[in-house]
Amino acid sequence: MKKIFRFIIERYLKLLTKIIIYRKKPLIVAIAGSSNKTFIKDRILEEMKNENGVRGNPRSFNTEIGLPLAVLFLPSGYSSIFKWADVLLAGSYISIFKKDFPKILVLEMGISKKGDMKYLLSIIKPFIAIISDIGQNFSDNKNVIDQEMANLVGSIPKEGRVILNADHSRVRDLQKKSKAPVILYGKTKKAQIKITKIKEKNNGQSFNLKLNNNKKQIETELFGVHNVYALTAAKIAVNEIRKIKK
Amino acid sequence: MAEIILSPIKEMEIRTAKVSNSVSLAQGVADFDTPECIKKGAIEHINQGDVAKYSLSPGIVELREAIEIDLNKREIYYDFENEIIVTAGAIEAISATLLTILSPGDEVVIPDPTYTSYQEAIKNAGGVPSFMALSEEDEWSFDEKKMEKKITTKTRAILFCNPNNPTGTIYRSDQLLRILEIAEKNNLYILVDEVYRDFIYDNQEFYSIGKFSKFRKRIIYIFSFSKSYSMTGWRVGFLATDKSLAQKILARHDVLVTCAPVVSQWGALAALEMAEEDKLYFKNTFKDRRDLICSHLDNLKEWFNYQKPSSSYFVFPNFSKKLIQALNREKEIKKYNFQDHQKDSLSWQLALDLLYEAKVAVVPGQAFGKTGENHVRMCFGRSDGDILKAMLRIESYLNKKYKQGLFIKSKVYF
Repeated sequence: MKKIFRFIIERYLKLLTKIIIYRKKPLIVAIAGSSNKTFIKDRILEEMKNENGVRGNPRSFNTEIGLPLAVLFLPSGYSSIFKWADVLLAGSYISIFKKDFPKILVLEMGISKKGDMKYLLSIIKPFIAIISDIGQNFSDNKNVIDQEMANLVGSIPKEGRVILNADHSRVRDLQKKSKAPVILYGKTKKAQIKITKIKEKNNGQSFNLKLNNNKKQIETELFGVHNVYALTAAKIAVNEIRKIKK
Repeated sequence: MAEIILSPIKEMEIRTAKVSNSVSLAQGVADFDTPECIKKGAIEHINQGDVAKYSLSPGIVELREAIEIDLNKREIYYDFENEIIVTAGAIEAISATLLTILSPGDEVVIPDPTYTSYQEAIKNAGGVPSFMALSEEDEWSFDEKKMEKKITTKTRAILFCNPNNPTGTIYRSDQLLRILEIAEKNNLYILVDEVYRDFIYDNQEFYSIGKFSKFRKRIIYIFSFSKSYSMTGWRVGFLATDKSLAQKILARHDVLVTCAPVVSQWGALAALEMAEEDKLYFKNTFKDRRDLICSHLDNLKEWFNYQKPSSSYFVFPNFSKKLIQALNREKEIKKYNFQDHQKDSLSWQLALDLLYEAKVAVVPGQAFGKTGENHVRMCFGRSDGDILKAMLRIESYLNKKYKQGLFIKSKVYF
C-alpha cells in the first residue's frame, strides 16, 4: 500500500514539475557528486543573492520526490496522507497557474543507485552541470556512480556548460562524455581555472583564482579545501550564467 | 590506574529500578520518543542496506557535511573532511580526546559542580581531575582567580559543559573569553560539551565557544544528538577541532569504537535535515516543565533554595539550614549501605531517603563535585505527570517527616 502511495505521489509530482518547467523554462544548474554539493549550491546562491529569480533546493530535497518538491518549492508531506493531499493540491496550482517563477534554479542531484540520475533527468533538463567529486563513501559502487555522473554530463546540450573538478581524476575523466564546453578547475596543471596559494589562518583561509584573465585573492571564513573548491565552482558557474544570460 | 566508580546517576537509576512504584527525576532522559522523521530516515537506510558495514572512521560523509553546515549557521567553522569526527555520544568524544592529550598524572581542571562522568573520564585516561568551585551566590559563575590558582605545571586541559549540567546556567561570552585567555597563557586545551545548547529559555543569550576561531587550535567542541533530538539510546554525537589535533583523536576513536553506530549516523543526519520543529517543540515543553517544577519548589521554600535554570532540563536546589539540621540529626541513626565516597554526605542521605521513603529518585549533589554537596539534581525532562507526582511526594514526605524539628525514626536499609 505504501509503495503504491509513494508511486502515485512520485509520478504526479513528476508530471507537475514537467509542466512548470515547460511553461517557465528556467535555466537549471545541476550539482552532483559524492559530497560538497550543498556547499557549491550555497555559494552560488550567496554570489547571486542580489539578483532576483534565483532559487536553490533545501539540502535533503534532491531525490525522486525531493527534487520535484524543490522545483515547485513545496514542503514534504512526510507520512501523512492529508499533508500530501495539501501538497499535491498546492503543486497543481503552482504548476498550472502560477505566474512568478524563478528564472534560475540551482539544484542538487542526489543519487544512490543505478538509474537514479536517469530518473531525475526525465524530470528536469539542466543547462549547466557541476560535478564536485566522486567516491568518498565506502558504499559507493564505482562503476554505477561513474555511469550516473556520465549520464548527467552527457545530458547537457552543446550550448550549455560542464564544470568539473580536475583534481579528482574520476571527475576529470567525465569530460569525454560532454557535448558542451567543459571548464576544469582545481590545483592541478590540467585545470583551466587554477587554484593557487591556499593559505590557512586562524580565521579562515585565502587562495588565488584566475578567472576572465583577472587574478584575485579570495578570502573565506570557511575551512577545508572542499570550501575552496566550492567557492571556485560557484564563481565559475555564476560567471557562465551571466555570460549565457547576456 | 585510578579506581573508577559507577556514575552516581546510573547508580541511582539501578537502585530506582528495584523500588516499586517509584518515579525518577534522576537520569537526564526526556520522556519523548525519537521524532518520527529520524526513525524513518534510519529505517530507509536500513532497508537500502546502508548500515551493515562500518562507515569511514570519522563518520559518513553526508552527516559530517551536514554537521559542518549546521555549525556554519552558528558561526562556527570546521572542515568536515579533516576536523569533524562523529562519535558514540559526547562521552566517547570526551574520552577519545582525553586519551589523546593526557599523559599519566596530567591534571584537568573541571568547574564544580559539573557533569558527574567527566571526573571518571579523566581518571580513565590516566589523568587527575582538579575541581574548581563555581560561585553559587553569583549564579554559578566562574572566578578567574580561582581558576588560575588551579593551574599547575601538570595541568593540560579545562573541561566543562555549557550550558552547565546540573545548574542549568550559561557561561557568558566574556567568561568564555577569559577561560580561553587563561588556556592560551598556560598552553591548555579546552573541551566544551554543548549538549544542552538547544534548550535556552527566556530569550537568554547563548554564546558558543566555537565562535572564538582565534583559539580554534585549543578548542575541542563537543555535541551529542541525545538531548536535542531525544536520541539518548542511539549513542551519536560529534567533536570538532583543528585538524592538527583531530587526526590524533581520530586514531583513538578508531581504537575505541571503529566508528559511531552507522544506523545512528543516518538517524543523526535525518535529525539535522528534518527535525527542527521537533527540537523546538521539545524546548518549549521543557520550558513549561521547568515552570511546573519551579512552582512546586516554591512551595518547598522551607526545605530548598534554588535558582531558576535558564537552560538544560535540570534544577539544582540546595538544602535550607532547617533541612541540613534535620538531616544531621537523623544521620546518627541512619544506616544506609554507603560506600566510602558517600559517607558523611547529606545529599546522598536525602537522595536515598527520598528514593526509599517517598519513592522519588533524584541525584545527590555530591555526584557533581564537592560544591554540589547539600544539593540534589532534579530532571524536568520527564512527563508533567511524573514531575507532578514526584514533587507532591517530596512535599508530603518532607512536611510530614520533619514537622517542627521533629522527625520520625527511619527504617534501616542495607
